[in-house]
Amino acid sequence: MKKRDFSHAQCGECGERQFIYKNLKDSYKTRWKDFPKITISVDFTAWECQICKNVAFSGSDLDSLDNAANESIRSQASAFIEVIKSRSKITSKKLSTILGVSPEYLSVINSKTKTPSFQLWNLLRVISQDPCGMVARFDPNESKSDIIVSA
Amino acid sequence: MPIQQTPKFKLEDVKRIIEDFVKGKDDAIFFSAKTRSLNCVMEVLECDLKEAKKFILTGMLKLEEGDFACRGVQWNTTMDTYGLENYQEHNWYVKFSICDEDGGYIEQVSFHPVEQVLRLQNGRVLHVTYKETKV
Repeated sequence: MKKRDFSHAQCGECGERQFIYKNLKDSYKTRWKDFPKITISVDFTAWECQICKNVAFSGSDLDSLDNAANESIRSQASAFIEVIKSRSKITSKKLSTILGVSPEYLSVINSKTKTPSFQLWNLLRVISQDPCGMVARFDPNESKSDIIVSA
Repeated sequence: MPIQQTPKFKLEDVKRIIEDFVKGKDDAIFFSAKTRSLNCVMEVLECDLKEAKKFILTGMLKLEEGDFACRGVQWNTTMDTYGLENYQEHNWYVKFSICDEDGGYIEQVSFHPVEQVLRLQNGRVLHVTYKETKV
């Protein structure tokens, strides 16, 4: 079915009629469920106003955005886990204890099979920014000498 | 925005377009200001986009002639404003226009909780029921 051309539709933010249909991977940030703001990190196309950069959606674009948001969160969570594990050398079991989830659930998140909650995603994000320091902070029993820092 | 007392668009046309959309005509509605429609619904209901979209469409199908508030012109485009009372525990401000191009589509500009008292043509007054909590 031919897709309608919204390039001359009116922007709901600035009133101009200069939309362009483009891939917004890595540039579009949005609220999604209880995530205050996420960056869409996978391919995703929608209508962007060339004047004010407002992004507008047809129905199918919205469905794509939902899928893209899900996929982005899963990818980001998995990447956070990989960063934490590679930089701090912490085991999955120990990380799952720190996070308060089961090792099985952490494995599911790591394999991008399920979308984590905002709380878990955010905790992973924070820990991944300073894996060694944060792991030690969240797990006071952890001897700092056990954590191997990799450059 | 200059105010007129009768709607420009027939609700039956609005509902026909929404029904087309629900049946799979994905481009029958253009959400041109997500921050004032879908994002607001997602925040109030703590739901995802799919649910927010469904909430907006269901809400628009509930509109009756008596819910009309005013007709106005914004950026040279005529838009109708309606108020939806006590929908999922809140009062909602609804603004849209219909673009006649290519069979017609709805430009959804606003669908958010009422931010100031909204007077409807049937005399009802919709008060603010929701205060935004997040900055």
